[in-house]
Amino acid sequence: MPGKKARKNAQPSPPRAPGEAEVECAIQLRRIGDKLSFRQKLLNLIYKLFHSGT
Amino acid sequence: MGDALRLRTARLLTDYLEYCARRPGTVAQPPSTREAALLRSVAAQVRQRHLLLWSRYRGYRGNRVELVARAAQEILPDRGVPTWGLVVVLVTFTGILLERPPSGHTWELKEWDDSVDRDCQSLVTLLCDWLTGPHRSWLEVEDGWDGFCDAFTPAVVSWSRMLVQVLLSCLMATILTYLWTKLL
Repeated sequence: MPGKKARKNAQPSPPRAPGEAEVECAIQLRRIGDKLSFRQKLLNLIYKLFHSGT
Repeated sequence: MGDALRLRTARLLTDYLEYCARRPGTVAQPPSTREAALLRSVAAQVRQRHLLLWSRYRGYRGNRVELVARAAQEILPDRGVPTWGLVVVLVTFTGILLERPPSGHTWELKEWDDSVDRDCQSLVTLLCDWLTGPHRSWLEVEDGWDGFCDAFTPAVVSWSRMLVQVLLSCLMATILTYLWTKLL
């Protein structure tokens, strides 16, 4: 039976190491922070370009 | 001079975190400084852009101080030097942890009410130590909170004006290209 086979093959998810959730959270924060820094630098660059030209 | 930087940092963090941890029905205090107003504005934009991630941490029931301490430690594993983007995101995240849970059982709200003031103070101290301790030299190189205002103000204030200028420039470029191809 396919359902039974699938259930047999399903691996139980390994238990999370302590602190793993916090590390994952920090990685997501870092990603957002890096994007924000990049976006802000880009906006400031465009702003400077247009204001030096006007 | 060093104390002035620490005081300014503590004032900014207290302003923002108390703003986030305010009780429902209480009127939000106006921002106490220029950087406080800017931080509220930038943090609101960051929150709006990543609603799904933040929703997981609203009404967080674990130890907030430990979570932020770990995040501050793990956020810079290889570089060692923060950026304004990372600082804003870490402070925004801390503010979300202090917010009142959107809904829940009475005991959850009571638990929040009992712990929020204490945690708010601890988190101000923690982030203030993080910024003015290991990252003091970075903060000084970046011209402190004046540098933060310089980095974020131009684009925040005149974003719409800038967009109009970009669109006008694109239009001009299109017209010029059209004329160029027609005349030659």
